[in-house]
Amino acid sequence: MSKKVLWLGIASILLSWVLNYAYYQSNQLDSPIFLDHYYEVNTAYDEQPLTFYYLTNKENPAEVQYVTIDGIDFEVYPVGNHSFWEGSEPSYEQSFRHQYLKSVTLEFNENILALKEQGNSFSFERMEVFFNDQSSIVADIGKVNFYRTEDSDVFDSRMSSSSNQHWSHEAMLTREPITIEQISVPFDLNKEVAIKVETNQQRLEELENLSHKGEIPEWIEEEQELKWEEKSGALSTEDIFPFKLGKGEWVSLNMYFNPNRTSYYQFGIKMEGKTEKGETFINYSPINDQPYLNQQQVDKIIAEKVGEEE
Amino acid sequence: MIYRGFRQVFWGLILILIEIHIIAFDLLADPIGYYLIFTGVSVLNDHFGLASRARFISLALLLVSIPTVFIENGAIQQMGAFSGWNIYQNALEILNLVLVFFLFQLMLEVARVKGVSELSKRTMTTFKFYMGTMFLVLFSSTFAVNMTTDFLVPYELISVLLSLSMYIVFLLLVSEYSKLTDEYDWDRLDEKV
Repeated sequence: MSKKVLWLGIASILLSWVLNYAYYQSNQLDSPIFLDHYYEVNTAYDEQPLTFYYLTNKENPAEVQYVTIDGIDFEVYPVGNHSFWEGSEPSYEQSFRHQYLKSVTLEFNENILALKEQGNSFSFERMEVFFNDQSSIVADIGKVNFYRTEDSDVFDSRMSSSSNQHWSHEAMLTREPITIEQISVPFDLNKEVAIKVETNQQRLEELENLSHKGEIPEWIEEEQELKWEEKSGALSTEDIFPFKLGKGEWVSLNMYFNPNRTSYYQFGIKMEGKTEKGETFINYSPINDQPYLNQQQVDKIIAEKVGEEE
Repeated sequence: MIYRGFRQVFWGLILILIEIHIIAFDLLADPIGYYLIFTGVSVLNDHFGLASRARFISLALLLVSIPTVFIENGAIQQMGAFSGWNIYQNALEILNLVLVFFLFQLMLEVARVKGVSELSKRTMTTFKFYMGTMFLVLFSSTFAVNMTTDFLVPYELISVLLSLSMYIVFLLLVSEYSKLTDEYDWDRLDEKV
């Protein structure tokens, strides 16, 4: 083995090092990127904290110190953020080639949300985020709606389940005769969320066993294995409305979310209708679904979001 | 002379290995290891007059590796991928590869002069295998900054195991050389005739 080979080897190591360095540098974010979130909170019931997700460089992961939102006079501080130790491993949701997916959980309570002055609803699409390295960004975060409405009491929710396979199910029993006029998805997410409505009483009545004997009907488990196309019920976009239900009748919703999307969901599927007495009601079936991102999706998000800024 | 020279190289290499793998052990500093290699190679140089390059590189490494006495290997990794320390550590590893290259050449020369063809063959094979493997380890390590975490962990495990086993193979070979005697090996010559 000659010296020439040795020098050639070392030269190729140095060259590869320089190229990798250049590639690494070109993949660093100037500032963290927030993903899209579609959140709705009924302030009459929940004071639930909302979790927002962002991508930040592994090299210098940014921690959120506080955020400000137009229309809210206070600074909103994260909850449950205890990474005070310098030099400790940063906490993150997912790890990618050059970035971490990190989350920040913010608590909005009624005092902060001056809903009364805002006419019972309040929404924002941006927040100014202040990080621990003294930098700040104005981030597009999707859309967050706060509303205030008393939930209807026309239904008894008997069974609800959801899975990390991006579907959710709820079965309810009516307390009085009603007419269901519409089932809708908020935020114009009709292309991302599909709903199947089932009112087959014979099948659904078996769910009664659940409360009496604690037995889950076989078809429920079988159905969970089925593909979306095979699941029973009619699509909410089909011409099925309005339809009537008597007292003590079942209605079941199968909700399915686009598994390839990169946005975060926490809202209610809205069911509107009238009681026999002519009173309108709105019922929300809550859903909460997070994507599990892969590297290609992260690359795409970065390309899109950085492109928007320029 | 051969025994003394290669013994010193052997212990020098051991000191360098221990420093690398036991983080807190800064007392067994790299410079001492390189100093031993330097004096060992110097002894061989006086005898064979062919070890000037290995001498030069080990002297260079002696000086260059002084900062490692004051800093732990683990601390460098936490300083980020492209800190000055990281570049320094990479440079140290490449210099180390160059040193081993010239040590191999010295050993091949010693084997040739002593006429031990078996050892010479074994050295040549180990030489190619060692340099090839270490080249792959160093070359692939330049990609580490751009690897995903799933990939990085097994990669690092494999590369540490590979370089460690190569290092041990090299150590064993060096210790083999320290068994050579300074006298002309008449018995061995008879065997071959």
